[in-house]
Amino acid sequence: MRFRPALVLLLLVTTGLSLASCRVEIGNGPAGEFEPVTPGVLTVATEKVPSAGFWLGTKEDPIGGFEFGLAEALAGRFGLDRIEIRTVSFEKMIEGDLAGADIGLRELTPTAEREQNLDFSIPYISSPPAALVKAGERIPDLKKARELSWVVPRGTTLVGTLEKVVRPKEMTIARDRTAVVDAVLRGGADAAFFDLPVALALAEASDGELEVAAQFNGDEALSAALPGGSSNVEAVNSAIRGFTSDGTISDLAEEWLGTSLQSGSFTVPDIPLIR
Amino acid sequence: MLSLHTPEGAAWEFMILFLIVLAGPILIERFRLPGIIGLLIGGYIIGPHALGVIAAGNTTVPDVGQLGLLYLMFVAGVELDLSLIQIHRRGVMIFAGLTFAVPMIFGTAVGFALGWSVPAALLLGSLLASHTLLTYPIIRRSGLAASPAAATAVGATVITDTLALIVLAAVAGTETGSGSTGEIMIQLVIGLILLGLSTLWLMPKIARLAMSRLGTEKSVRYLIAVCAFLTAATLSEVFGIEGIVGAFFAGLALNRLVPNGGPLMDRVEFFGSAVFIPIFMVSVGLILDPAVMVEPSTLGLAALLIVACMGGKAIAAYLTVPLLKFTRDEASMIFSMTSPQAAATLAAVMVGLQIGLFGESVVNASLVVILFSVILSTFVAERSVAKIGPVISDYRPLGSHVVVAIEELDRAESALRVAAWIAAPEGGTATVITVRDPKHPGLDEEARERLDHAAVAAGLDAHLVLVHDSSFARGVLNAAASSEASLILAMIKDEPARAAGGWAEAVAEATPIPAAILKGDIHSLDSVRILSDDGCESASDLAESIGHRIGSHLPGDPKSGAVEGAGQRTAPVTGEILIRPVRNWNLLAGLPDVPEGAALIAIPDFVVPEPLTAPADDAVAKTSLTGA
Repeated sequence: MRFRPALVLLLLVTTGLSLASCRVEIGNGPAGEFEPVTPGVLTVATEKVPSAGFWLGTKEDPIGGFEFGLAEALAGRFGLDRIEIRTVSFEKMIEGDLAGADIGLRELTPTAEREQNLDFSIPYISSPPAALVKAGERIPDLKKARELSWVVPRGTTLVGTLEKVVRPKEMTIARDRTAVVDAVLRGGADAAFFDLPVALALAEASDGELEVAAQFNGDEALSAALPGGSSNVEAVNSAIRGFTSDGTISDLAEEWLGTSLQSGSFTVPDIPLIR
Repeated sequence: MLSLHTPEGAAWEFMILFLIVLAGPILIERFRLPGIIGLLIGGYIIGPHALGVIAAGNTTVPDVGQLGLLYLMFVAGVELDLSLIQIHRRGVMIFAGLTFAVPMIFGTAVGFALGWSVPAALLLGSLLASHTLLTYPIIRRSGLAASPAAATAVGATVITDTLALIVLAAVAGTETGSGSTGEIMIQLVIGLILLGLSTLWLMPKIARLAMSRLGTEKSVRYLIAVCAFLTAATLSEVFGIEGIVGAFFAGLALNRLVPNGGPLMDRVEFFGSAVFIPIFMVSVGLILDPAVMVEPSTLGLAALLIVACMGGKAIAAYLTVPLLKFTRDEASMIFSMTSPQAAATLAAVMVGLQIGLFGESVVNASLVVILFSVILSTFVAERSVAKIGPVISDYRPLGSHVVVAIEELDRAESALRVAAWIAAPEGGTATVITVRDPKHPGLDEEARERLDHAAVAAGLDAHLVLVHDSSFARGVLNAAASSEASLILAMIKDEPARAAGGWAEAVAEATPIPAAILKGDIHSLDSVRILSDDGCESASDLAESIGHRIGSHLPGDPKSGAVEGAGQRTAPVTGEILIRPVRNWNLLAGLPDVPEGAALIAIPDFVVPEPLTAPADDAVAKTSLTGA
């Protein structure tokens, strides 16, 4: 068949104009459409309110926190009037139970296992392992880190990570975050091992008694969880990209975690990195 | 018992990355698809949607990819031939307006038809309006690169991509900036003006100075170029303008300092094509999701974008038939050159993604558009050039590639400076030739190194070549022919009666390439004087062209005069370059001695005896006239 540019051109233009002349229903909007479970409401699942640095106030009347701020920004972007909070245990949450909420915000790190039950957004803040220490303590290098006594919360992947990354001479496992923080404050351990955002939040809430001395190499990052197969993933991803780009997330981190994020990224540049 | 570790960390990630960069294009090209597709698929395979070797939280690859994106836009700017805008001004302006506006309007209309917001619709229009000269190598191989149609398409690319980036800057700025729309627009306008001034006006001066003062090492010259585009990107971000706009402007700014085909351009392209740009493509592949790509809504969107983009580009191209009097085959060739959506489109869509204006479905739909446009444009390019037929053009802008033949190191600096002035309008390159023959031992390594430094100091992006041949003239002729020189500048020793029978006359007599013989040593240029001779028009034209190129570095016009007879022995005065045609050997031999601090450029216009040359008059006349 002979190639006829004029014919092809005519065909293209006719198709283009006819499609452009009517409002066609193709795609989910340029950045994805968000369809809430309850019209006008962003329903968010989290483990508990308050949670230092991430959720302040009560479940019924939240007043601040990094993840609450993120939920507010999401609701604003999607044109939703209010936020409803549902509390779900961490274990249930990672099994895919978000109690019928649109999204879950609870310092969640995507893993292959969790992705079998949940969909995850792109990361909103990096969460490599970090060292929480008494104010004034310095950890300039891995050699110094190994010489310290460490405490880490039980039942998390942090135990294995601490053994693998730091290989400390002395390590204690405490029952929960509160016990870990107590151990550092009372001198039972030199340093606590937490995900970076958690360490930052605990330091911010300690009235200057604690600080984050170092972060370690890692690709881990916190993401929002969505029910498996949710059609809202693209919209949430676009929103988080927008918030990363326009500085919304960095402002939240500065307000609630006491640190800013690298421009246009979800990494925390102010904490020394031990490779 | 062995204690083996699961591979992880930077070495592992980069090993995987470079394996993809290496193998992706090679494998995909076996299926006659462009290498870029292999990189995108490779990125998908190692990304979080497939094997997960590069996790979603990984920052290393996206960070290097971001640098690759800036590099890509810098290369896009630096590669364009700006001189074409001046040569084909009317055609370039008309076609640039069309090939930008029609797809821009169509793309924006599609956005509105889909119910998108104004910024999203405008950004869609701008990304469809830009294009990448992906099929240009096909056109160049066919000998059509210098045809007015191809030159118009290349020249229009500069304007089209700049306009598309300005729209992108405005949209992205309003999306990410704080304050009222009016305040943001004022800031963007101020930013664009300052960016334009600082890159297009100030940056070439600073870069030229830095290269001449610091750039004696090749790596330093390369790093100056890298620093320049990163500075421009940073500056643009200060004003809330996307960094790719600054990088592209920096490319345009350094266009003349990094001439196509020059050694610096070789390095820029080498690192770009081997490392930075492929890693950017792989980083795009990380977000590619075939599940999203094959969704009917994504394919529907892709189909609409293809119609808007290809339709708009086709209308613009075929309107050149009535408006610019191109043939339909030439219009097809123009369409094939301006329809490929690759680098610029990808850059714009990634910015849209990063600022949250576009979601993954738009990115995936855009990748379908890119694939379709690349395949279609390659097909149309091959068909159209076959119909137009091979056109062997010996047109070479005078300053596009100057061969400087140097016999001795003394006074070489003058020749290099003159070559730099001649090459400047086209941002041309130079080859500095020294010859080793039975009579000339050639320059030793240390001398050649000094010559290289002198070329850099003169602002010349030059290859240094040591030719081994049976005679000096033959060496120069062979080197000039093989490097496709546009001008041979022969620097001869300033000795009485030196010229007659020397190598420079042998070169001038035997070559179809325009030649000029330089005598003397200019330290400080105060004036240029051009003499013409009615008896040798070609040489007079060439003298005129060279004189104006050199004179453009001085305030005021060059002085003009006429050669007043064969025995005339006008000599330049100190601080002056005298340029004149010479019509025979006797005259050349009788050229006056040149005083210290002055130079004489003789343009030989000998009657060339058979069978030493092909009919070269046309070539000489064409080059000298167009160069003027």
